[in-house]
Amino acid sequence: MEDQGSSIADAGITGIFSGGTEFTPQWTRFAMEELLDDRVYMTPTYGNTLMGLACSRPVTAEEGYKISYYAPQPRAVIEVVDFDDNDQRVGYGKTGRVKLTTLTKEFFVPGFMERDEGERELPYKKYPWDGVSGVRPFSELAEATTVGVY
Amino acid sequence: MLKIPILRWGKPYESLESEEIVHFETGEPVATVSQANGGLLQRDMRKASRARDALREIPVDELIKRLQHAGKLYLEGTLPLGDGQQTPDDFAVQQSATTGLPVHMCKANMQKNFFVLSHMDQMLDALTRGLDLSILTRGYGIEGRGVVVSYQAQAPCLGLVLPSNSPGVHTLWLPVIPMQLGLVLKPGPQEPWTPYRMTSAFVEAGIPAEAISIYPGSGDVGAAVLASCKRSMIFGGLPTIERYRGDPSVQVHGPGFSKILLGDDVVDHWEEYIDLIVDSVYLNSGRGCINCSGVWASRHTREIAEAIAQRIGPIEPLPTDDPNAALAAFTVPGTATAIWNAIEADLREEGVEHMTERYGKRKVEHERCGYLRPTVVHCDSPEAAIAHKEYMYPFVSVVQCPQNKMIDAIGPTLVATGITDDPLFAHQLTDATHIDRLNLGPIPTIKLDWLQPHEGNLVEFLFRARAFQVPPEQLPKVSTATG
Repeated sequence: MEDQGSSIADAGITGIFSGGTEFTPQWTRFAMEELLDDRVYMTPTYGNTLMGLACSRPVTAEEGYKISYYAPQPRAVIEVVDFDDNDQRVGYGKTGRVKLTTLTKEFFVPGFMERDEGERELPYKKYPWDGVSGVRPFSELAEATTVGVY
Repeated sequence: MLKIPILRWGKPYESLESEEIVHFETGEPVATVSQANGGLLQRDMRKASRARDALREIPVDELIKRLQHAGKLYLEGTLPLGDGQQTPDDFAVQQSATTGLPVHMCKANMQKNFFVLSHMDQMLDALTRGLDLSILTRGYGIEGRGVVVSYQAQAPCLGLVLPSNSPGVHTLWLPVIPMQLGLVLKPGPQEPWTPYRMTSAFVEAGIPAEAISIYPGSGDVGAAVLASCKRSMIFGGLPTIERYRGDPSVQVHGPGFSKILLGDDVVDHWEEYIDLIVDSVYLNSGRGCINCSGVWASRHTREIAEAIAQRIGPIEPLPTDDPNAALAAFTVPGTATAIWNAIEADLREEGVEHMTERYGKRKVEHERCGYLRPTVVHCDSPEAAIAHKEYMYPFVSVVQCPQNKMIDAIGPTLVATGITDDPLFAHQLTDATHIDRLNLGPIPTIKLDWLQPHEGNLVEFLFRARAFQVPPEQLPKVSTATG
């Protein structure tokens, strides 16, 4: 598009849900600074068919482009729990494995251990419940994990 | 601790992702290096033509002078590096700490780079076979013999995917700047030192910073270099060579399988050549593609192997700051073991004998690294698998093979030293297309004549000699133009 004198923003795109692979703060910074020119809102998303989509709180330079996801409560709840004791939540900022509970009219899956790990995040004004940042493949399974949309 | 940024056409960029590089023996951090991603590099390549434009504003003669000054700064100066400064001693100690190469070898490599920079005018004269260098700037001109010639740059910059384990390779890309092409460097994870120090010296000497980019990173960055640069060089093993074979935009540098061949007319005097053979095998810790990994002769091979083993078999690992240290460490855990396992498997083959066995175990494991002591193997025929192996330490197979079968049997060879006064054998060696550099006579494989191209001529890779015509009345104008 740039070769033709245009850009993502000039094409009329105002927002992007991005997902399907691991999102790092650096890649997000690169995309926001250099591809989107700060004119297009991009929100990385995290999720699967059990959870639905967890959006991130706004990603900012001030927070080092940290990506913190909040599950779509009340349909799905995520907790960050101790690697060895899955009933024990870790402290805020501490690392643990993502545990997902899904409760919809059609479907109830309690305490499903995801194949991801990350850091437990404080609630945010728009999403006043626990979040998770730095999501990456669970280190004990990482080599066997296929990342992406499937 | 030093923080080393990405350089994007001369501009430092601190990534949110960084890698700590550590001392190979102690694990102590030496620097944190910002990590690029492929997208960032691809985006920067949109501005690659500016690198060539900036360099073309400076006449080639002036660039050469600045490079010569840069060589002195690189060898002797205290230069900016990331958020700190670096003396020449710092450089050698840091490079040694992360690559496992003894400090004195790091310093010797600095001398090599200095030599190339300080003789850049002669290097370019040799690489271009005496071309008026302003022809590279303008794209055409008149050669000394009065003929119009045209050399068209095939890319605005050269991309390089550099190795961690052989700091000597950097001499290959130094002539690129005075040819007025930019540089896109992806350093080896353990060896960011030379690209950064060299760039720092270049910029201090007045080379435009916007001509050089450095992108430390993982495999996707290397792939992006090859995908984004119209001309690039990569260093790797046999799989890398196979992958890019036949790709005119990629020059691959890998194992050299360099050899010494003794003709039937001289082999009875083999003792005269033992010093030359030993130096070719073990100097610079046997790491270079120009180190000898095979000695081929029709007779006396067992005696030759025994004599080499006697000289290099007793060598043991020493601390990297010991001026007598002759061996570099394998800094990636498990590498020394994997190599030794492969050698042991080959040693089981009939007709293969381990000649350094009597000098003690070859594999020396430390907590965080490993060493392999010099290894000499005798093969009583070229069919042995180990006769065609090369490893990145002083390793050599001495192979018994009739002279009339030797040239066909040796396989691809980067440097062949053919020692013979037999005109027919010399003629056959000269004609062998699978030999890249031929030393005809008793010249160590590791002895480089810097005025000879190394593994493919850089000028031929970066420029295309093409037909070009201008009306005769414009010829004087062409001939008086300057670069």
